Amino acid sequence: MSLSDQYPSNTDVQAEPIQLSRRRLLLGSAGAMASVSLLGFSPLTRAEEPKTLPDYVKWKNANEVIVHSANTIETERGAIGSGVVTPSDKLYVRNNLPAPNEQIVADRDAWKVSIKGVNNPKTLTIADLKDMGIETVTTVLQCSGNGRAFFEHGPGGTQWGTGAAGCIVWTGVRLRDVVEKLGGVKAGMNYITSTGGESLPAGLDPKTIQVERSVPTRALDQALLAWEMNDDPMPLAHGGPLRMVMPGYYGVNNVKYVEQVAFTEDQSEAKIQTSGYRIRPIGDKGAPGQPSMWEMPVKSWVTAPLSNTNKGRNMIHGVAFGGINAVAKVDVSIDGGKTWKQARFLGPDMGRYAWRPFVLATDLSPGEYRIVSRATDSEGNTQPPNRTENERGYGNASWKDHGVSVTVG
Amino acid sequence: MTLRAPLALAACLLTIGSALADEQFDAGKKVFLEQAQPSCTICHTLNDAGSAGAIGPNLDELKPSADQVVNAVSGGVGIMPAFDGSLSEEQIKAVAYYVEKATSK
Repeated sequence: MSLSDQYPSNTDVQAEPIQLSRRRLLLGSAGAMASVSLLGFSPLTRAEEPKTLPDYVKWKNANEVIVHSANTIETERGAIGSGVVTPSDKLYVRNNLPAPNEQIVADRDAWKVSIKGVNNPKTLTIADLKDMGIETVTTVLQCSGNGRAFFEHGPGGTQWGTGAAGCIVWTGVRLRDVVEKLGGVKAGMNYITSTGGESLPAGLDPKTIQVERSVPTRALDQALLAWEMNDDPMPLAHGGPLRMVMPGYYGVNNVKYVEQVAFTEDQSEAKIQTSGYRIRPIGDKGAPGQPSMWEMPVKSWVTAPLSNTNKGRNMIHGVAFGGINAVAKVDVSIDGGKTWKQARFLGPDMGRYAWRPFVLATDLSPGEYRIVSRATDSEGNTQPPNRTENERGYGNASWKDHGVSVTVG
Repeated sequence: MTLRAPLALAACLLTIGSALADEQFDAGKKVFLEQAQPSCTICHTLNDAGSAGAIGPNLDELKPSADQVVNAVSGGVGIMPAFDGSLSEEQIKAVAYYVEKATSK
């Protein structure tokens, strides 16, 4: 992710027009700009030149992503379709700091991570970790700001629609197995604090911008030190050679290029922890007392159709997940939430932290429809109709916001 | 004569207006280069300021509006810290004006 993200809001519109507007902006033609203003919202930035993929993500599928900035790249809503797992070349990118040099993935097994706050602290290489155990976990990776584009107060930051999320298969070693081999967690430690290995510019207190995130030690149940993503060595853009994966937690806690994992009494003093990524009332400053972006709640959205479709038999597709819990069911409405029908999950269940693609077959006659989906998790928590308003535009799970307006002809 | 006076006045006001605007540009540049701590230059590339920071977005490419800059500088974005405790409202307005102007050339 970048410091960038200072786009204004333009959000009294629905998801699809926003995505269209972005796409057109990226193309940057005069005609596209005209069509944007005709639709009545302002460009996200004043830049009109086409944006291309930065070098470190050249391998991404340019047709299925939206390049917001060098460090913020979103998956097109329709590109998810009914995908059980999100292919790496479509997966969103949000780097808080620029990705380190390629050299750090030249000799992957030599990458070092220091484990502290255990009874026998030690610095381990990836080769050492590979001797300690192996596990594969599928999780929804989702940026805290996914759905920010729907907030109406204009929070700064990348105007993510639905595409700052993907469902990813990670392979690595359970942090619990590593800790056990190092004598267990020291008594009185309340947090797992992971530090990213990005290099920082001189003349700056590291705490100002360093990516260091603390999560409660309860996350030790599922935390994974991962060296593979979707069966390939972890790409540099996604945190390779080694990434902390916190299943059920928002993306920011899945620290990339992880070089230190410490069990700590207190949360990190880095700004990204103390005042960043906090839910706070609109107009308030970030402060440690506010809720941190940790566990994700239940959420779903439709991935097709998105704007137009033919009359007759239609398959409504989408994805649903429970965040920290498994997803139990998802209902779909074609009348904006007045009436609901339960959709069917598609494909294999990849576990508690994965998403489930869903489908509902329905007959549609010509007209305008508001298609929405509403998921329920294994604990009975149901996706809320409305978002929780907050300054930074985090944690949007509103089923109303995530609906689509579709013309059937 | 009756016509000239208002024209002269208008011309005069225009001059004052642009002088004030230039002052705002210079004041904003000073905030960008020196007054903001940490300096904006450490993290951001901006040709007009001669900076090549590569932590945050390249402002020459992003071309943010003044409102967007005010928003980001006041409240922080991601790892970008909030500056509303260390810069005055005038300073934030000035740096926003400066960044918008300097990137629209």
